[in-house]
Amino acid sequence: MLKKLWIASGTLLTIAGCTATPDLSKWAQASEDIRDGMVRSQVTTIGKLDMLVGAAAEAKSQGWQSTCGTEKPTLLTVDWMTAEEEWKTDLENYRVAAMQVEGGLTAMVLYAQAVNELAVSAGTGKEASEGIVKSLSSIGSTLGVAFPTFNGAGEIFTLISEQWTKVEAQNSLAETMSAMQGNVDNLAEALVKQAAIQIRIVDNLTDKGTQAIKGKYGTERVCYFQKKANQLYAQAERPYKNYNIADNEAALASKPLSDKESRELETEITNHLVADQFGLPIYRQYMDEVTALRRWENASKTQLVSVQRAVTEWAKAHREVADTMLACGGLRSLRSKCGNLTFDNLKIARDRIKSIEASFKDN
Amino acid sequence: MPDNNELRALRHLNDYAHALTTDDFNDDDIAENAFLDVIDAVNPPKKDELKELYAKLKVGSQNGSKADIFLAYAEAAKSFGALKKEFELGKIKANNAQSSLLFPSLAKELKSVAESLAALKQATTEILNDLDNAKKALDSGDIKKLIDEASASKDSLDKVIAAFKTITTK
Repeated sequence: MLKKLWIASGTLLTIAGCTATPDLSKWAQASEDIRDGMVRSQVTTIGKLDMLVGAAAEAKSQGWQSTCGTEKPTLLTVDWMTAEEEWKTDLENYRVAAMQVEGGLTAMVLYAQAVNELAVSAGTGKEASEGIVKSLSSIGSTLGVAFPTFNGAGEIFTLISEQWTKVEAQNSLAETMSAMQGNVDNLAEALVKQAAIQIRIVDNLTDKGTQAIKGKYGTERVCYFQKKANQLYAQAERPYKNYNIADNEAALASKPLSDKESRELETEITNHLVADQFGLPIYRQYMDEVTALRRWENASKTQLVSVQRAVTEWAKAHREVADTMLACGGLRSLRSKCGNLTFDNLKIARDRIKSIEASFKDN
Repeated sequence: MPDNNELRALRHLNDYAHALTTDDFNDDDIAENAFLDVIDAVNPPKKDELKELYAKLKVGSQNGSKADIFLAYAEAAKSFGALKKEFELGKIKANNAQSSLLFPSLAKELKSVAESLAALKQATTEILNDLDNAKKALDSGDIKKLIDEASASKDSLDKVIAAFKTITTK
């Protein structure tokens, strides 16, 4: 039995390398990117939740308004009296969940790196063989062992080790990746789902964050300015315009404004100066913070959608490699459907066998 | 008669309702933000009505109450615990496969085992004999039979690997 297998291996080794071992380095890097993208999203979520818990505590102590004027609360209205406790619980639950997700994804990354290293090692046979030959020469020389056919043996050894290491690695890849495909698919499905919920969380945090920013600047004030937003500029301009017109008309008529007229216009200007100096900047700061929050929302959701797409492609690539290795990796590369059983390959096999034989005859 | 702000809020709310049926979150957010930017300028009672409608649309689109998403996230995250164990096993399997690759392993072992010189010579002599037989098979047209026999089963591969490994134990 042993002899029969040796025959098979000796012949097949020369041809088996026809199926290339895939370069999985970019795939392994993609798995890190996927993990990092999700982890970054979770970290910023924890930061936002932490900030919201702080805002809720402030809201409770300062008595922030939950609604504006006589507005009725809705399902989305934040109750500042209970928000701190609720959000603390959300934060604690989220921290635990985030650690679970990160743990699973880190294990996935380490697996991907190990698979990549296995694929890389498919090309280490020749190098290993040269190491062996070198060390054997050294040992033989040291011990004074006569080994007349050593040079020929070295050539065979290099040839076999180069091909055989590839065969072994490709078979191991096929076995490992096929066995893991179910888990890879499950992880991709789980991450797509997790990221979808995370998108809703980002949305939820944006809603809460907007209400917290509104509360910070004053719910009623912001509500007032929002009503006035389109008129504020015109309102601020009007008294200046009135004063300028009155002043111009007075100049044209060579008749100065009366003290009463001057006082009325200046009072109007002063009133609007107050709004201009204190009201508008507050509203603009509020809008700046809301805009920044919306920008974060958009960037976060975009990143999460990218994670969803990337992990789907990642799992697909894993399946393609696993299927290819299973169908045509290692010794299976000789199957006619793999396209390697060609006249040229047989010729190469014959030539290599001849060269091996010749190398032994020379020694 | 509805004022301008009311009409704008209604239009944005309508856009939001429509956008919720699409896959693009950007559409939702644009319509939603436009609605939120104008709703406080709408006079009651229309403001309350529109806000209530908006809240129902939003919560309805998320299949639950506002608090459910954190519970949903925690529930979904549990599957990553089980997957973590599976991927750790996958990593061990890949590492073991790599470390047991025959020739790189041989390289490590033979460096320190002088006795393997004899084993190597014997192995290469056997290979030479077998290759000679293989050449005859190739020349005589039996190669396909040989290939089919060898490539057909995983068992054969394992046995070949086992045979190679005997080199190091001789």
